[in-house]
Amino acid sequence: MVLDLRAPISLRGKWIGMILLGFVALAGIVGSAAILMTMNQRQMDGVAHAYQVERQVSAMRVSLLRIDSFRRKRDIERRADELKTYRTRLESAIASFRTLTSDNPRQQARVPLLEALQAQVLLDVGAITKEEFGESIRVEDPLGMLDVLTRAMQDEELRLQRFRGAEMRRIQYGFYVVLGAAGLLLIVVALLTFVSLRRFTLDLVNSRQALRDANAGLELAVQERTADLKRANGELQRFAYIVSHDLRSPLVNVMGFTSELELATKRLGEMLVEARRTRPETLFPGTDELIEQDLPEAIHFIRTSTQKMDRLINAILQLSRQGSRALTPTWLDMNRLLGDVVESMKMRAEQAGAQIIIAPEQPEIYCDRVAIEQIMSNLIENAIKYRQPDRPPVIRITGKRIGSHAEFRVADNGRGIDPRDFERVFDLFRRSGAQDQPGEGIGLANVRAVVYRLGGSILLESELGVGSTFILSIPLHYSEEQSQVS
Amino acid sequence: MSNPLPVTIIMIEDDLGHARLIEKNIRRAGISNHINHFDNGTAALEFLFNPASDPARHGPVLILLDLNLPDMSGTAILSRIKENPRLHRTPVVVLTTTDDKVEIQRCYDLGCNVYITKPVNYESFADAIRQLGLFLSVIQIPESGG
Amino acid sequence: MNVGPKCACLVLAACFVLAGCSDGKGQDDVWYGYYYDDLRENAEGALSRPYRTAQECRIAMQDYTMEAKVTSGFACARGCAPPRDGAIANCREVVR
Repeated sequence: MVLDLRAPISLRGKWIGMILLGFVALAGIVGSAAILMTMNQRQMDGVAHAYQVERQVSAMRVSLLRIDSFRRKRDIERRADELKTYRTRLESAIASFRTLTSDNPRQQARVPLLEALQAQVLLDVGAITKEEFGESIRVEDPLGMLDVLTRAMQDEELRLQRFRGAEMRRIQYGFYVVLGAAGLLLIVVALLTFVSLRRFTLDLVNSRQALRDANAGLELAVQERTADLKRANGELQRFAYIVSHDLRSPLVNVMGFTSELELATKRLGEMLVEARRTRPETLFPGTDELIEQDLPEAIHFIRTSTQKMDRLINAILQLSRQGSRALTPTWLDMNRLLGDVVESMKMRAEQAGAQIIIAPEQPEIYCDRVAIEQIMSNLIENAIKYRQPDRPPVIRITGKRIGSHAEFRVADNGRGIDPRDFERVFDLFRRSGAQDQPGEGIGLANVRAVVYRLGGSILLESELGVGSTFILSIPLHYSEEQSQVS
Repeated sequence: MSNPLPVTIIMIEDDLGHARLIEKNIRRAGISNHINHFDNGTAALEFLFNPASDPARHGPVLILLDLNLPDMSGTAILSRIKENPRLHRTPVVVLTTTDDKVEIQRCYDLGCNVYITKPVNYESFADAIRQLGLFLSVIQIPESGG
Repeated sequence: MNVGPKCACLVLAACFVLAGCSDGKGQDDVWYGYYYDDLRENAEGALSRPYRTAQECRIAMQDYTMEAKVTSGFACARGCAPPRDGAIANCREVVR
């Protein structure tokens, strides 16, 4: 079965693209709205501005017409204040017009003519003298000119208003277009997002189903494999058991008849003594040696070899039994367990002058008590047994949690193990270094078998003449599936 | 012993060496009863269950049984003996190399009377046989068929 | 994956175009003289050649209108938007 696990990942990329697109659309809406608003505001200001200009123009016209009505001299004398007011109003209107239309060359071009008109009217009514009029341009029919000019100026402003209004409509239109486009984009993004989300979910569901199927297949395969292994393991155990028994059976004979031989030899010895005393001449030369040395020596060798063989067979038997023993896990307070193990070896430790230090706060584990006790006592026993002769053994046991496992270190200052023997020491009947200690080479093989059975592992660090450290890794929580079939 | 007829020992043991050693030690222990030796289960069963050679006629019997036989397992023979109403009171001494606790338990469950492990250590073996002799001298062997 | 950024770029570009299309202001530092033959009506004025400074423009325009009639006029301006309906407004600077 092929699982395409990449599909959801690429989909995720699309997803982010969609979201990004949505944000961009939103930002586009906000940004263009802001820009269009300022543009609109500018046009609105322009319209208002045009109104203002228009007002100034009419103020100008009204003021000029009023001034023109001061035709008689006595009018000017009598209503001097009024005239002054109109003149001021006119001048301020012209000044305002100048500043207000400072962006319009045509209106600006009209300013000199306006000023000339003003001067002409003032001169005509006699408000200013010819000297005051000075170099100003003469305007014929100033009132007619005023009429036409103001109309033209107002027209100009009206036209400006008109096209600013048109501009505003255009901007509004643009705004709607942007809004529409962004809205459309949002809808498209939403749709695409929805579709890709659906596909993503669908793919997820599919891949989960596929994974489940694969898992089921895998589980089945594992179950089959485990069953196979268990069967093979069971066969191996039966094999070891049968071998050890069937090997033992002839050994009983060897041992028994050796004893019979011994008895016979003893009998022969007695006869030899008798013969030597009564009839020494009947003895063949070398008979003494045969009966008193060669035979007992041969018997001795047969006996020790058989005994050794018996021990080896027992070891195999013990190992095969270890594999079939049912494990009953419980919560183990390792501080107490280690304390008990050390206590049980107090005698041996005292004899060797050994110091055993158990570090505080050992991790608690859920495991088989007997198995752990076996492992620990084996390791500690070895540490005492294979000590460096010139110094008292110091054994340090530390423990800590590492992930789902507990790591225990049994470190000694003993004679150490040659790195070449690191694997060998765990093999059955194999030992390392000087063979000056009793033992069959079973302990560590047994330890490793038990550790494997618990689902753990054991490592060795050592330096010759300095000491060894056995690093034991045991699952914090024993479960049957986890344990390797040993 | 109140029983007028001497006890016959039926030894079912495939290993001739073992048989010889057992016999030697039995004799050394001062037991001179007749020993009837079978080296396979079939012959032994035939003898035990054949009315013609009915052990009842030849007086009470004691069975020495080895568990590892070439043709059938000793436990099968043991159960057959203990299921038979005529033979089920016959004392059976299991003599084997097995010291497996489960197997010992099974033998006792099937009704074996004594279980002796054949030790490789000869002195212990001889000791065990002597104990067997002691056992023979104190038990009341019931009359077969009774 | 490739669709997102492209689309985003397109949208952004569209926004800028929409925002910037009405904002053309012409060349800012060039002065033009605007001459109006009759100020009484709103006919489109004549446009002079470009000048580098307002002073240059004014002198040139003054020379041009020396003999002109009362109803004509001129102004120098820079940074004007192109005329609409014959009206020019929104110049950055106008001098006379």
